[in-house]
Amino acid sequence: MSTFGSPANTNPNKSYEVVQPPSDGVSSLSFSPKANHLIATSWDNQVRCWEIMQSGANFNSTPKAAIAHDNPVLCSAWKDDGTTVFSGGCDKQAKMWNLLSNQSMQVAAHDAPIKDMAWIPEMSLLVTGSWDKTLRYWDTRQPNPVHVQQLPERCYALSVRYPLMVVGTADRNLIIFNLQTPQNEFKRIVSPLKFQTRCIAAFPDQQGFLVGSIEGRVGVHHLDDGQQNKNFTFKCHREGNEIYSVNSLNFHPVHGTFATAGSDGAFNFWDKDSKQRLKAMTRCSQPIPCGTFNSDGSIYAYAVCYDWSKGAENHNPATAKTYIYLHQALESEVKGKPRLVTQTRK
Amino acid sequence: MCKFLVSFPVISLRSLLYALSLSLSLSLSVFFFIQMSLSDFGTFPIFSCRYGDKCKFLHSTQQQQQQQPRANPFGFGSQTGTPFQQTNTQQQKSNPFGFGTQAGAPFQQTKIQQQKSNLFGFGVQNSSPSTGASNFGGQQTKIFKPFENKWTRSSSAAGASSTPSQQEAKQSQAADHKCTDPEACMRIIAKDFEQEKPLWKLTCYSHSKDLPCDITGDVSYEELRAVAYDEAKRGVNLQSIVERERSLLNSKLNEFQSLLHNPYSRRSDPAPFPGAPSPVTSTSTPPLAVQHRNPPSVSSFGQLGPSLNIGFNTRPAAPPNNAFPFQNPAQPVQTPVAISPSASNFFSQTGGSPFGNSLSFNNQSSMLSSSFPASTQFTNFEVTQPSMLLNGPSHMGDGQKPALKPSEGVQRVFSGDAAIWAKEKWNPGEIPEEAPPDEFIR
Repeated sequence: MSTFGSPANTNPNKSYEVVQPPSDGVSSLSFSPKANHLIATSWDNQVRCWEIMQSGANFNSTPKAAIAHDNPVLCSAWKDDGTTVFSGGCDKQAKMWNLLSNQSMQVAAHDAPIKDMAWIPEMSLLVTGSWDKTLRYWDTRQPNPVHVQQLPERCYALSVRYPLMVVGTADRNLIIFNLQTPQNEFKRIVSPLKFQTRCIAAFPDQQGFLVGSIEGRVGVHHLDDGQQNKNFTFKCHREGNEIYSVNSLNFHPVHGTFATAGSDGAFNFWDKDSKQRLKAMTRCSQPIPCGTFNSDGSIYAYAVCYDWSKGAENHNPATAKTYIYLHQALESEVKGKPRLVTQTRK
Repeated sequence: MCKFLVSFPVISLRSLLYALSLSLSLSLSVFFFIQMSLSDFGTFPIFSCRYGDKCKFLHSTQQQQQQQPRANPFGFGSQTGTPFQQTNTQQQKSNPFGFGTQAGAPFQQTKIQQQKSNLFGFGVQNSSPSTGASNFGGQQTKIFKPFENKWTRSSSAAGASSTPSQQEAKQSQAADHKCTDPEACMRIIAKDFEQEKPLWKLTCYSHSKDLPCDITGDVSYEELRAVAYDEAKRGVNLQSIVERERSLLNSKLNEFQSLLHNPYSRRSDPAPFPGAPSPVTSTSTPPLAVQHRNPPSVSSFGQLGPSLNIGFNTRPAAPPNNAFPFQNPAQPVQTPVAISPSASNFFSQTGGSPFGNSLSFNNQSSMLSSSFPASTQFTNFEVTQPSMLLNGPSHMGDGQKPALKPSEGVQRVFSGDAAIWAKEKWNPGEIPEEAPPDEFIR
């Protein structure tokens, strides 16, 4: 069925290929915080769960269960106890799926597709961001949102590290919230990048956040005014004159380094403190729309499939194939390194 | 010494004290020297950097990591935490929302001061190697002035940037970009279009970071794809989908071209929003829905209407529940006018004063609910006069009113009585001087 080049092209890094991938593009990947259970949401309207077994460099994947939405699913989040998965998408709903009972129910509704979401354990609330320009907070036991927060524009990405939440919207707005007072915007800034915001990741220590754009650039931004001198941006995911977008930013749960994944089909590991790239992986032949680390950072999962970066005309449903790969994140790749200088002084 | 002994009887007390202090200081300095040398030798048996273990760079012979007990220049106190503690669990984290002194600033100043450039545009100490201007990757650090406010348009950009009282300390010229010189702006834009052109074209754009968008109307991959999938579901064939996307792309490219040639004239060209056949994702997807109802060139007035409607449609139907910690679960629908969503009024209602300056801006008037970034999507029909700085969001409030000030170079000023355009015959003296709004152009 697949005639799109040999498998080596889509997997030049020889990552493990997860079995029974979705039949259409993957929009989000997330690992359970408690176990190596992987969730993938897809443009084929399904939310799938695999169990991943790892022994050293060897992986094994077992499809476990799946639920369906009525429309493409765009985002997912795990509850902190690892039993429940939230998913939302173009059907403007979010569903809560209890994996133990395999029951799912609707817990959220918006007026437009839900683009991103997060579960906030400290508040026991689900926050959903939508193209209807609102953030809504949901107590899953009630049908109405606990709070609706207006955004200046459509929500494109959000990231939570309690009590910090950063929301990126269309037209380069970045809104920062202190979740202790969530009805107030803590700060609203314009993105340090010049083009459309694509993804956001809050620092694990809540001192700032990363923002990725379509222009092959990532901005590192600190919240404290006194730390503004530490802000910088860097270029990535570019090949010659071609500038691809950064689709995903993910912090390593232990080392504080982070991974970027782009439309060029590459994923890289970076250390923002020493401002180095730790590892550059080989480009796959298709874009990488999303990636994620597992809870201990030993696995980086990424999807290789068409992300619409070249519009509808480059989407061929008959031949398009979707892959989900697991990469063993070696310490040499994801552990931060001090920056070496030559002996001679300037 | 001999001299002393010989002339001992005639030495005054003063000179004796002098001599004593001299010898004392000599011995002390010798003492210190010995100390330092010893410590140097202790850590650098072979290679001796003259800064010893206080050097901010990591030497490959240096076994220990950079422990910098010296205070950083910005008064954050000495760094005693381990430098590469990425997760920073052990250090006192400064509360990101209650900034004060940094007891344990998590990231070593020393690392940042390294100014080596690398491929990725690192190396500048602070942000903004990102503009098309010259300082790509490797420009040396400018002098750091911690809280110097280089943001000269804080009043107009208040909503977008941080509070003017505590502006981000920007060092490079890009951050200081003031749109006073159209030539400079044009150069930046031209350079960006040449060198920084991303593959995805349906995007907003600003020629300078931290400035609001020159071109608004973002369409993300997922939005375009969602619309395409929805159309396909309804039976639209691939060819029409592709054509729709292409025309969207072309209109966006035209926008960029016109920006390139005229950076200060904010065309009220409404092309920005993605052209979705409106029923698709239901009217509740405002930008998608707006586009196709509008003819390609629409007056500012024309765009205002549908936008308003859509804005209303997106209000959630369900009232939020009142639950801790949300103290004021006010309905989001606040003002009738709100072109931008009623965020501003919502904030003022809650009474809490969020830290963003955007809110003080908004509180000026309930009518002008123009929280800054929200209005960027509508800056299309805000006329900026050439005397105004670029982006003209300082006219935010004015932008909400239909009658905009006429200015040269702007095509779609809607001033005065529109009926004049409908007249068949003009009498001398009543012929309008500006070009007609596009709705009158056949």
